[in-house]
Amino acid sequence: MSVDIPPVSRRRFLVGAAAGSTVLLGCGETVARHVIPWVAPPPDAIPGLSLFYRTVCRECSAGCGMTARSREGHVVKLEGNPEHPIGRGALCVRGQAAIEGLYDPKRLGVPSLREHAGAASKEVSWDAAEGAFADALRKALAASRPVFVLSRPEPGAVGTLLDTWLAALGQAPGQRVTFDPLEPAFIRAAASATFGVATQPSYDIAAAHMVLSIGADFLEDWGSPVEHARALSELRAKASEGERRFVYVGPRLSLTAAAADEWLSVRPGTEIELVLALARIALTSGGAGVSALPAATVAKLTQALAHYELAGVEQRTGLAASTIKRLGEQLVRARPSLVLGPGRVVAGQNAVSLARAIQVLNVLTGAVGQTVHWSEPAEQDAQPSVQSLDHLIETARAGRIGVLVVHHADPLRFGAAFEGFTELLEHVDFVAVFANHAEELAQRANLVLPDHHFLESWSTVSPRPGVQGIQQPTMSPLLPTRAAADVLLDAARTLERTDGLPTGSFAEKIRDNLTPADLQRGGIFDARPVHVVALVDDPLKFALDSASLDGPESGLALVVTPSLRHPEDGRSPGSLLSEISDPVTGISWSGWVELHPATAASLGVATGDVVRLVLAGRQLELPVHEHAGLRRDIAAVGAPFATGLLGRGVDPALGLLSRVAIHKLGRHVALAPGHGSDRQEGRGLALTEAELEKQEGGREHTHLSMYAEHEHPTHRWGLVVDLDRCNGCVACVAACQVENNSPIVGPKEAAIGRTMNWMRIERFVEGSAEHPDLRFVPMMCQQCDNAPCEGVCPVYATYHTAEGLNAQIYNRCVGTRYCENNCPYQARRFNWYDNPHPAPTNLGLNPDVSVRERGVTEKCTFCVQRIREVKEQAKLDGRQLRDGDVTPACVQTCPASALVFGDLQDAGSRVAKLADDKRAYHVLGHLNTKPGVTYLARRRRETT
Amino acid sequence: MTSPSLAATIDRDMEASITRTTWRFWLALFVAAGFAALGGWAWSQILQVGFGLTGLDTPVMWGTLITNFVFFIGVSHAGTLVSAILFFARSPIRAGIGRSAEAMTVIAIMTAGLFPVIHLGRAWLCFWLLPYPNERQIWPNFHSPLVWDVFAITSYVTISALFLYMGLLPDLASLGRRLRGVRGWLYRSLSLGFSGTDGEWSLYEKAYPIFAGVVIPLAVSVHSVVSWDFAMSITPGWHSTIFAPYFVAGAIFSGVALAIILLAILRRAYNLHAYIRESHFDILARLMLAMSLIMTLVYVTEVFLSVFHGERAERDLYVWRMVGSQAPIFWSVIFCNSIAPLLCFSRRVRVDLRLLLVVAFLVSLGMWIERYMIVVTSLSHGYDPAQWGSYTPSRYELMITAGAFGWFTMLFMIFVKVFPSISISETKQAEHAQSSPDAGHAQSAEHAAIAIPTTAGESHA
Repeated sequence: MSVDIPPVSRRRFLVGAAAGSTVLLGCGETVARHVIPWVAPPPDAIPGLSLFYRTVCRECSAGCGMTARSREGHVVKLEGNPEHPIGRGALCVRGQAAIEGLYDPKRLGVPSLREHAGAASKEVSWDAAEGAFADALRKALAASRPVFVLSRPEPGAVGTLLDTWLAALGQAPGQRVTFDPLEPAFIRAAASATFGVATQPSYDIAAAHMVLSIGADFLEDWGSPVEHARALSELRAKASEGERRFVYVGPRLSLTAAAADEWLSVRPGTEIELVLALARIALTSGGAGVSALPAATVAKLTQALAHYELAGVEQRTGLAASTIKRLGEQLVRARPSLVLGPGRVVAGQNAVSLARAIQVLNVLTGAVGQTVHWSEPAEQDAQPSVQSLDHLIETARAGRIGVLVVHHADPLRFGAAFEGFTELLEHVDFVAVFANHAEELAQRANLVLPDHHFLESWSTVSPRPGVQGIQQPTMSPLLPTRAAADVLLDAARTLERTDGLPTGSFAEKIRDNLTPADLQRGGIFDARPVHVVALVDDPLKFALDSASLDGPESGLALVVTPSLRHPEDGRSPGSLLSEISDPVTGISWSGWVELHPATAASLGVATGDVVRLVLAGRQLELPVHEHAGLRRDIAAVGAPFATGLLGRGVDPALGLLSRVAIHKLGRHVALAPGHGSDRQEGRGLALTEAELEKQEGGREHTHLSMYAEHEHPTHRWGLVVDLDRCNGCVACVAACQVENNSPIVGPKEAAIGRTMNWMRIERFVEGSAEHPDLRFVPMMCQQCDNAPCEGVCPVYATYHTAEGLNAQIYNRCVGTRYCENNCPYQARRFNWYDNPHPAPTNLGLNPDVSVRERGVTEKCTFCVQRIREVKEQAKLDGRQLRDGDVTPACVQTCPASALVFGDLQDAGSRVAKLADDKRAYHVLGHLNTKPGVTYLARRRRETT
Repeated sequence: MTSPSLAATIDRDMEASITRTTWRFWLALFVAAGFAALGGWAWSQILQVGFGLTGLDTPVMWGTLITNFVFFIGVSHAGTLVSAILFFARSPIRAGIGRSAEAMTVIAIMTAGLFPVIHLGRAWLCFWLLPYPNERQIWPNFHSPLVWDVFAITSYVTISALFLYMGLLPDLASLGRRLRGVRGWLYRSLSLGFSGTDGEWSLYEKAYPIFAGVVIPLAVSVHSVVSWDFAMSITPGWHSTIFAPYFVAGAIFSGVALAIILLAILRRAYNLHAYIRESHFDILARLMLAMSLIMTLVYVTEVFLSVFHGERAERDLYVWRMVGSQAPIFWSVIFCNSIAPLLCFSRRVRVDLRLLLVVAFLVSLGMWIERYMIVVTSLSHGYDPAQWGSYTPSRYELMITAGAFGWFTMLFMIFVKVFPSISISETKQAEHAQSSPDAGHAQSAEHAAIAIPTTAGESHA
């Protein structure tokens, strides 16, 4: 039997081949659409070149402008928007890490519905989910049960939409509740009492000649960290123009305190006495604002402040009378001055009184109107969030709530603080949650509606009057999510309740009001409208309630401290933020409780020992970290870790709590990274101007060499790090990791020193035990001209480029690790393992930077990919490179402008001029490494 | 002429180690091979998963593996160097210990040579360290001490192996004549047709000193080069001009100690008391003592130099080494290498093999720890205090270390099973010189006085 094969004619073959290739080509096209997922490809998009989209950062309520760099349809890097007045091109560490949330494998993509109470939540289609949502709303309206919206602060288009939507459903305006747990409501309450204006003021730190912070950690969480860091840096830079001082009063040497000229502390809870004593000095020795006050007010103030004479205040606060006097005189003399506060670490039960005292002091010194500005009260300022949440809870107790729509908020993350909210859920028929992650509240909800990530959505964000940032999608949605606003609009349409609501999609509504120029600029920015305020008749009419801390006499006052690395709304930080070391303590990944070394010794514990903190029956177990920059009578816990200690109804914005009892448990854990010395050991890494002068010839001597100097025919790239401006905010570290595809290694590996960050902030505690001095040194590859790493590599995997970079060729590296041993700066990192980038995180990798394989060494390249990109562009444009064309990721994001990059051979460049500054020195320059990184010593700061 | 009965005795004794195989040998070989296999398995894990399996971290990028490398290079020293020096000194003890010392050299270097490859992050690319013509037109970086290492080690292993082989030729020929079967064929093939004619002997005795002469400077240079792996860096604790003599002395020191241990085992296992005598151990012990005194001088000099060093990091490192958290390491080195060998001033210790073995063992251990101290403590206490760190070997590194000792033992056992572990021809020459002082080489009276103890001779007669 034979198989009959039909003869194939040439014609048939050609037909078949054509069909086959069409199918193949068709497939190729489908694949390509996934690789470049534009809804409609922008006309100027060229594969291989970046597109930039301006948007707004939503990681905190500061609302910094953002520029998202997109490659082949995916966002690969976030930077600041230089035209946006809040961030001015900079981003903080959280802004830099926001991209991690976009590509988080655990981000919600599919709606889930719980059919009835007690049933398991099931993934459903969007049609089913929206149908269920509309049904729930219909039922609530039919039964006349109220619909509430609980949202994060939404100062902009989404907030307006939420209001209009509720109105369209016939609900009262009070039913939109904003949840902003860390909002310092006490400042607004105080302003209401002092000026009759219940709004948050804004501050002009850079304009002040003397800044006094009463526990306000404004570089960390007090308002707008990026804006404040820039302002403080400007203040520092003006030091040469005359006296500029920054004094910090608070129980802990925080990041902000470390940036101050002077760190003082008073007995916890007595800060108000200090402020009133200063007010008394301002009043009696001619504060600039006194003359403008009515005589009656002055008389009342004089009477109210009579009690705060220096001797008594010295006794009660524990701060020397001479110091108080000096501070007061400095405040009066400095025109203008600025008193900031109160910050969380000093805000206890008397927070409102303290805030009022500070506001009065600012009036007396003439700061109000000069460095403190109030704006017209806006609608969203109407009610502090905690109060409106109380209103929601009370309504729920009185009768059932029909539907609770939760929009990116989760009070359950704050433990007992919002216990009332947990009970409230019992009184709600239907909870619909718009969220990106299935956190606590989403797990209890009837319906979870995955919203777009903020980098995929439209909105406007107006953090303060005069600033309207535009939030626009930077890429098409990664997951099958839907914009919350559109879901709400659809529901209203289904119910035929569309009064005042836009007719098209939410995106169209926003786009219609904007010009392309607005979108390119990233917002509409006007001058700040100024609102003149005046003191009420008797501003200091309140009962003084200072220094009343509950708890055992022997206990330590619990101070809840801010953290730059943790989202304010209680979300858990991503792995990037967890892995970057806390700049003050150097700890990554875990929580800790800070104790003064003497206190720790008296408790018989040391760094790493686990203790149990007990506060009113609630317990928390944390490892100890000994911090010399701490009062002996306090225990400090970072806010994200203190949740378990918060009592019912305690405002999480308050940081000075009752006394806690501390019990030793006898366990020990390794805190990551657990090695290294806190001290410089005389190595002169982080120098002050005075130390540099003392080090005669601190700038290295000329060394003789057997080899010819390297020649740099075109450029020699260099970096200047101004230690006077650097405040250790670690934004650069995050920027570097994202830009250069550096992997995250996790807590276990981090604890043994295997992090892969190319850049780190080294911290050193100098000074005496009484006056510790926290110093930060950004450390990265120094791009030495006489590099110890280059000579020892047996295979030329590292070599010197003509532009002065120590290049590293990953493909050539065999992994002897000799270069790493020989680098005195420990700037090199070794790939201990293959580092997986599971989907979809791989989409966020920078395509211009290789992903390194296991067994090779890597290090900072001065972002060589950016240098090349700019050089190629300049060549295409037919021009020479200009100073400032190239900005490495770390330089770009620095809020304090502490980093300056450029060509050292270009005599006119900023970097070349700064490298010749009298404060300039090279770290370990005596080793004759001839680094390309120059440090500028910190200016004199008195340690009186 | 050597009396036939004595020659036959020697032949029989030497052959015994080759032909007679006890169950103890097989057991020991099995254990050694097992350890070697364990080390191989551990390495395969590192190859598959990554160097994260070791205990290395920033800043300690080199650890136990490099310690083993330096240790085995050190061990390799004593062998060939001692053998060549003894040859030129016309020392009579060479006949008894030369062969195993040379074998120890070649095997130790075969062990040491594994480590530079094992410790590469991408070991499969190790050939990139060799200068070979390639399409990328890239040569190794001749500035790098690691490339010097490649040349030093390959030269040394080549010359040492040839030196060993050269010495083996007459013995192979003699065995080839006497044995039948596969063994006979093997020895005859390996003997390259050496038949013991006067002409051959005359050429042989001209060629042998050339090899011996080349080996001595090479041995000194090899260990100097290994020391430059460290000294050419700028790391505190490594960057020192004393390193080359320091490492050469240390190498001979540890090599002699290990030679004492191996010879003692060999002598006992194959009942070679007649050929490896107490007087041999006495001389080796004196050598060990002399090297120990040199090492002590080096330690004192090194500490002295560092304490008065202009570089703060250097001073801090040495003070920390002596009194800091790693002080036990430093002081155990001092105890093992400087204090314990002082016992060798006593003749009783030098000739009492049990005591001498204790000292030799302490020295071997001390020298391993010393290399560990140099590698690890220097790296963990560098210029940047914020980056100071610590290092604990992981179980994979310990397995590889055990594997290296297993590999070394296994190869040495195979060597003594396959080849005569004592030079037959030289022993015969020595015997011949003793029985007829006027014949053959002019032997000194002192030389002739060291003879086979009559008891041994009688028992075989």
